[in-house]
Amino acid sequence: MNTMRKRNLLTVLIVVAVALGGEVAWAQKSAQTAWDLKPTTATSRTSHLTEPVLERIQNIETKMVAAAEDFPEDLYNAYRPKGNQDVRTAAEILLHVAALNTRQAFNLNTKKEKDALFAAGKVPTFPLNFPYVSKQDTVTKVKESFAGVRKAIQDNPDPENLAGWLWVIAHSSEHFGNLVTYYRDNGLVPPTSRQ
Amino acid sequence: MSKRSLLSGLFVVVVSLGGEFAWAQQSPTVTKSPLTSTSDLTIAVLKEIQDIEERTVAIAEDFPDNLYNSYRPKGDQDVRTAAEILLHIAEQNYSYASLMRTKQQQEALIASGKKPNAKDILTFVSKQDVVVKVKASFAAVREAIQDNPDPKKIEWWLYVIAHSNGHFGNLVTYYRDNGLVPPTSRQ
Repeated sequence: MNTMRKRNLLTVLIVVAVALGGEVAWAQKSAQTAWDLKPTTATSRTSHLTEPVLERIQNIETKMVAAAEDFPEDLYNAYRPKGNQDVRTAAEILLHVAALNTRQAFNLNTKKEKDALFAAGKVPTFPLNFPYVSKQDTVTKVKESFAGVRKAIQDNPDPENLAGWLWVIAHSSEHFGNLVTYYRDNGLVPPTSRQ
Repeated sequence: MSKRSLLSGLFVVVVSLGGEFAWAQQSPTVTKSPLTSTSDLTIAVLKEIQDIEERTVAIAEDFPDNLYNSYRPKGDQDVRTAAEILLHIAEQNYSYASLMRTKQQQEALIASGKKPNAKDILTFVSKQDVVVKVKASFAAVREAIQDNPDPKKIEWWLYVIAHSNGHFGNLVTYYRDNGLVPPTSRQ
């Protein structure tokens, strides 16, 4: 009976050992494929994840600012495809991107940073479009909005925000595509396609 | 005596493995913490890709036949038609899906003869063929990310999102140029 009990215990232990061995093997495999998503240094506050995201945002920002600075004055807040008043002008597209970037930058901040902005009375209002003032003002707003997004990502490089970062890339890229066709509609070559 | 030794040995192994397992559970690479695992990252990326895929396919299926491979802004032959834009998106998707794969996966794809030829993708055959190519190219991207969810490939994942959204923006304006409302803006 004593021998029988020992045998049973032995069997149970073997099963447990095999099971745990399997779990550890799985864990080791996970560790091999895992990737450090934490900030590389405390000071830079960037990570392997935010670096390519920031590069991609910088890429669309550069192209968007180039169009904001370059699009002809006479068409800037006047040209609409087919003259359709329901379709945005170039200026309105740019100010829409700036407004939503500003909103998203606020959303991407940490709670602590949001509370600090509230306390300082610096909470931005969130219109769908900023009102048009001038071409120079539009350029400034576009630049500031992208800078705000980049700062929010650098200050709060939490991978939980990845969907929000991707949204900025997708949304601004789509509207940059609108602007490129606005150039073509007017027989012009967009800055990014010039030799 | 020998059974007792074996039993003692197994206790040591179990305690040791248990310790390793406990460590593994505490390790950030194993513990399920918010959005720090590879799969959580790819979920967000795949969702964004699925979103632009659906919008692009909607246009590929909807853009009018009489304009599909003929309308160019200002009739400029240097500017792509809607069909050419869609085929360009498909070609780039396939190209970057390839970069997203491991070397081994790339070699396996080539060996299987399933790697599409860029020239074939870019050749306009019909509207239906364009729809098929666009759908298949996004599927290839999604499959590549799922088969190799290595976050070091994020640069290429981001490229697909930015590139396809940029050209989707072109297509939206092609609708407006022709006095039409794009599918995504219809009530």
